[in-house]
Amino acid sequence: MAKVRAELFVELFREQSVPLIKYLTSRFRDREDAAEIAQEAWLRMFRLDDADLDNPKAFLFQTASNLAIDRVRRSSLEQRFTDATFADDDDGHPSAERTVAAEESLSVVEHALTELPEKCRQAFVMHRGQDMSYVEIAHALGVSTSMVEKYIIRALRHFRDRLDA
Amino acid sequence: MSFGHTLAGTTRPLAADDAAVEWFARLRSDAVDASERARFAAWLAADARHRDAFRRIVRLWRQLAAVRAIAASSASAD
Repeated sequence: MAKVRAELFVELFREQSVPLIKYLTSRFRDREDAAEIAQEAWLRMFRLDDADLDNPKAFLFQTASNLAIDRVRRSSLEQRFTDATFADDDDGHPSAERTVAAEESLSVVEHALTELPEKCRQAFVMHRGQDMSYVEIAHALGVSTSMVEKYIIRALRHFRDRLDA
Repeated sequence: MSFGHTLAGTTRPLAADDAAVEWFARLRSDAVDASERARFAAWLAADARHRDAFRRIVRLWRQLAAVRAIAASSASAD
């Protein structure tokens, strides 16, 4: 049985490896993505316990298609959240309500800042307040960029606790 | 990134909020490669709690726009 299955797999691969890549490339444009997804789809075919698929070719293309959709979904989700990471201040016209909230949070933020260690505070003010990049901050403070990242993490955790976010 | 393995949750599963802060800070660094973006996408896709946690950090970040005013006033005080 195992031999028959291996033979079927080899035959399917011989027939369909090029069409599958073409199919995926037409849907994706990115050849590298297409090749990666094809590889994953073949791997899943190979791992299947049930050798008696009615239509192995259809299963192969369906699997590849699902993987492709999943990848697109993930990358657009990621894009949305990454964009949010860089979306900056809301510079619209603040309502009176929002101005009061902003003033309150200003004093809370001001106080929370003083509780941070010196370099951590400086790094955070440079990044959030002056739009300096990690590399620029690293130069200014004489620390590594990974240290700057750690300062930003530390500061954000602190603000999260203080602002109850 | 030195703590990358903890983000993937293979060694010590971080609380979603902590992982969200780490991802946020990572994404704002100058060098984020494709494999890290893919891991971020996988992390987001894995759990609705991850997405909520990340949204909270984005909100916190917006609130911290107050730091601009503080930076500006301390600069003019110098």
